[in-house]
Amino acid sequence: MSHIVSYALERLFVDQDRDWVIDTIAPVLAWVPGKSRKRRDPPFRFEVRQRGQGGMSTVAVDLTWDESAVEQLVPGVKEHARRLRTKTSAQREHVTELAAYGLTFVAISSLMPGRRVVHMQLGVAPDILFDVTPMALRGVESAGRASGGAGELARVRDGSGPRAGKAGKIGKARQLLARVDLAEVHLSLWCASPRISIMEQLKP
Amino acid sequence: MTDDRYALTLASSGKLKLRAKALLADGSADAIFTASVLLHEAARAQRRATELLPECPPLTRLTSAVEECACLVEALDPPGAADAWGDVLRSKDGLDAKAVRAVVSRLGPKYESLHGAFARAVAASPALLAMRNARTIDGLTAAERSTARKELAVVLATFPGVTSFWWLGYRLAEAEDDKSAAWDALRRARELEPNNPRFRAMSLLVAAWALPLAAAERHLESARGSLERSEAELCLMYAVAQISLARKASEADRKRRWRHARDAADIGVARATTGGLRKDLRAVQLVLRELLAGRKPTIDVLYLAGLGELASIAKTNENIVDLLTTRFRRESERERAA
Repeated sequence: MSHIVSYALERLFVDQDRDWVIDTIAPVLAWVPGKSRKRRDPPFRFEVRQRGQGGMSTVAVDLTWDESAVEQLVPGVKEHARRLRTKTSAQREHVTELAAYGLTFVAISSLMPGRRVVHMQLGVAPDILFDVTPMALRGVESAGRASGGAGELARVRDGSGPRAGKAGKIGKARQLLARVDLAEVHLSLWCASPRISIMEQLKP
Repeated sequence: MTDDRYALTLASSGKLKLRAKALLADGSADAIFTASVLLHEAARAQRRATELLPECPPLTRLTSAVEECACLVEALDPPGAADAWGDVLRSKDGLDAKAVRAVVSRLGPKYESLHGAFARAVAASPALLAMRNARTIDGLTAAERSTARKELAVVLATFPGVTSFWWLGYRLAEAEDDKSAAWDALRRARELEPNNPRFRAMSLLVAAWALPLAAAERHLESARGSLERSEAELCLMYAVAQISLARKASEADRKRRWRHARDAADIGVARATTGGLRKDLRAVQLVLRELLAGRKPTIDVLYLAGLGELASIAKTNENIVDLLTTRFRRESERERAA
């Protein structure tokens, strides 16, 4: 691993607009520790595999949080995170999605310093935008997986062929590369167990 | 350089979506409904933002239509999403097929899935379907209304974003004299579509009927300040609601309410855009003239206001205020259904 980046979750409130991050804190607290009984306290180390114009590198992102500081910023967040851990599968999907947004905010703040989130999309990639200029959008497409590690994240990136009678899925990378209205786009994929991430600049 | 207003309006839409996502993760019925309200607002903000662009590139127009539709899909509002899907289809006209596919690929399957689920749910609700097709609840028996309400509750539990179904729920509950359910359903319709003038107008009348006096008073008071800028229909309903509340009030309070009602009717007459509405407001003005003079309004106010047709079917000694209130409510509901 080339280097280690330490990032305190509460720092998000400095690096990004409060309105963007506030709803992702409880999901991050609920999702990142996973189901493991052994390690439920920060720091949580993510092995982040970065791929960009300069080639490939691996960074360790040590995510920490100070419970009382986080609680002060988002009153009731600990209890909220506890409730989110008990959700049914339909709601867990939203928790995973929100946690992946939160971790993407961490990645933007720590690995792309100075970039500020300005928009979020549901129906069109990329999910998170830091420039909304028409036909020259800049942003990050994010996704989270509870398990499966690098292999699962690679499937999100590259898609999968047809399996057991089900149609294949086109990967996010191909979908994003086909877009002519993106000036810059990154992939930000996160797995909770094992804690692995892929950060890749697809355009330019 | 992006237009600041465009960027700010988009940002407000994005923040609403994120808040809605958090509510969806909570998963309770109330949280899901609130998420739906926020997602409707996010969809409207998305549209407003695009309208702010002086020259919107066709592909940006398509992505905006897709995003608006996605908000309504996530809001569990299949009819709203279907309208927005129509915009998606119109916006992709003339664009490169590959570019269109790249933009629509995420939404397409989600929209189809929601559409299929809703079509199945409505098909499994025969009473609801019949009522929707007939566009009226008039003439339904109590048993038919009860069946329709049960079916409606099932559909709304899965699709809480369908505004027209909440409106239907209000009307069915009102017909059954279920005040709290009627108010709750109308409140939800208004939350999903706060700019709908008919919902706002009808809420004044329903508040006077369904809410305790203090709560009804608060609701009417919240509308009074904006009457000068409101549609004539809102003024009409405000006036009728005050007349209705005056019946339960003390002598002094009754006169105060009648004066508020008269002021609203005066504003409404000046703002009425149709002859029918002007006649209705004129009738209210005449009723109030009689009430404030200490006289009981008679059938003459109908003749004087030009409502001869209504006068012709009124029974002798019929309460004119009740007759007019029923007429206004029916007209408002009918127009909405149409």
